[in-house]
Amino acid sequence: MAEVRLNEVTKKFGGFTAVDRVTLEAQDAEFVVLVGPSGCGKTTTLRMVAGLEEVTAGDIFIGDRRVNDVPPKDRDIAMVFQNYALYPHMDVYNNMAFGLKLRKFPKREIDRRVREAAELLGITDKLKAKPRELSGGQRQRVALGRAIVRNPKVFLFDEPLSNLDAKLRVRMRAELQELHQRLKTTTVYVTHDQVEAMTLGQRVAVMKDGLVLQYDDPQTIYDHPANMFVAGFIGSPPMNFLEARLMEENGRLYVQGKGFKLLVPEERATDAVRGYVGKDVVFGLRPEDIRTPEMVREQQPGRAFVGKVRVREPLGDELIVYADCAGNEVVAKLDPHLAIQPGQDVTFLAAMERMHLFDKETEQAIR
Amino acid sequence: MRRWRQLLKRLPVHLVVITLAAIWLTPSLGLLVSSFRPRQDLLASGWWTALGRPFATQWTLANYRQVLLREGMGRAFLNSFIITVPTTLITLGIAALAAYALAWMNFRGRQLLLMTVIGLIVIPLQMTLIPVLRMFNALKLSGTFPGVWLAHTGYGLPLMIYLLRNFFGALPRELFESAFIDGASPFTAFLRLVLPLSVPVLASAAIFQFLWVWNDLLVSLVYLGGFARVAPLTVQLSNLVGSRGQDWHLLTAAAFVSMIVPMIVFFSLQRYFVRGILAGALKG
Repeated sequence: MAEVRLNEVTKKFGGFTAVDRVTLEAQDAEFVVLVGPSGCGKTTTLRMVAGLEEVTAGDIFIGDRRVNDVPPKDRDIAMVFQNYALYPHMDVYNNMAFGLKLRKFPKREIDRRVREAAELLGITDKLKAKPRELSGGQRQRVALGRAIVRNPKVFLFDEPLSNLDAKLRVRMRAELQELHQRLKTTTVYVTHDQVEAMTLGQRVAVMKDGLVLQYDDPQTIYDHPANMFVAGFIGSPPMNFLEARLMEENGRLYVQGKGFKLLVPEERATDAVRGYVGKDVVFGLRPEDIRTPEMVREQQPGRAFVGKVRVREPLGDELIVYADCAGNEVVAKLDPHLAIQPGQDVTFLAAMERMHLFDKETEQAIR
Repeated sequence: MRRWRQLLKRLPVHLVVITLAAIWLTPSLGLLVSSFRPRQDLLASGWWTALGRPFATQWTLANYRQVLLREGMGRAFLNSFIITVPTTLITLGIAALAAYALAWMNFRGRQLLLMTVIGLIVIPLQMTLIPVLRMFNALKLSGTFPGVWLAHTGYGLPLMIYLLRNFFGALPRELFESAFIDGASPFTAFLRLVLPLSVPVLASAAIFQFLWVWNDLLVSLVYLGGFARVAPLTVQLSNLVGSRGQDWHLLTAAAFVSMIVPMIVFFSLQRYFVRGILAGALKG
């Protein structure tokens, strides 16, 4: 058991900076997820923790030990790869036992650990099978088993679920969570899937272009994204961004843009926000923070805007509506039982207490 | 109907293959038949007449007996093995290690080294005969088996390294990383991962090298000097052509003795042969 700490870690490939002064720490037994689009440096970061890439600058600690120059095998970590990387010529048992054999564990101890892990993962009847005889989910379990038997200080996962079909992915996601609750091993998990990040991570680091843009628990990231990228990346459908200007009239603040003029609630009119009066901002609103009058009991002033419905996507439990508001496209997540048809003009209500404002230049959140 | 059309479509291919096979096989068949016929029959009638009446023909093993026991082909047969087997093992051993290093180990000048090795493939070995022979003479290696082992190994290495490196290089990187995290050293990864996973390509490389060395005349003749004591089959056979040029019954038998091992090797390992070539050309 150990914590993982990255201090100003940088990785350069030639002139290209893949990871840029990343500072992160995963506490003991914590499940940390690195998420971001491809090429954001999340996998490179993980590989540096594993010791598979050299660190250009900065320090990596596992426990109290600085591991920059420690080879992978001496870092007491286990890694699960995207393509599982099972040894094709060994059966499941030997795939799991390989690491222990190389470490000269006694035979009986190896046997005990392999069988225990196989039991835990439900692959006891597959111990004699070769990897090519297994399904994707079973291979994934063997890869997990190979990590578990070593009983390492840290688990490193590199997009372990992305080769599975959608249904299996959801199931393995739950299993991974259960596994972590049981083993309580510090885990660093890399994914490009924001749902995986939100569901698995106790804390999530959103990365882009080698930088960590925000590192927080999932709910904080969702409710208070630090910038436009995080706001747009987390959440589906993504947040609506509308060009707007902050105005003051009779002591009250309004966000005004093409086709809308919405009242900023008192509690959101902080000093920082007031500093932007008269300036251009980006106004952000999540699809589920847009409602229709039918969905709201008590109407408040300064919240309504009108849009013409272009497309409706009924999903059963919710209704996604794409509407055109004076040239802006707005996505709303509505009550599925509303009778809304394409071509119809609909009045929408914005949940302004949950609005987001961003600086137009820096794209940072204004709070 | 469809089946007929498919058959018709493939007919030209089949015709070409069958024709080629016939052109190649006929002389060999002639050799085989002739080698079992007595001298006077051989000189009196063509080998195909024997095939026409297989039971009226007099078949004999005397040619083989004479070639193997009195014309030195038996000794030469042994020499061929003494030359070929160690050469194949040495070449493959060195090539596998070199290919692994060139594919998966990081060291300065790796790319340059690889380019050099590949460049060596295009250098004709004839260019090296005189300087190497002079060196062997100075080192007292000419006319000895270790000398010819070294020479054949040197000539075989560039292609073998290239072939194996391509295959090793196509193994997934994560496999090695996984092994390193599991605690493997580069050498352990080579022994426990690379070798078991490369059996097909190793087998095909071994067959290539074995056949090349077995069938070689030039290298053996130059470095061994044609003494019967060390001469392999090819050298002995060419000596026979000189000393026994008229005795077709002996030459055909001798030729067949020298062909028999390559044929056994090929037919018993052809599975690997085809697979190995594909593996090298396409991807693991």
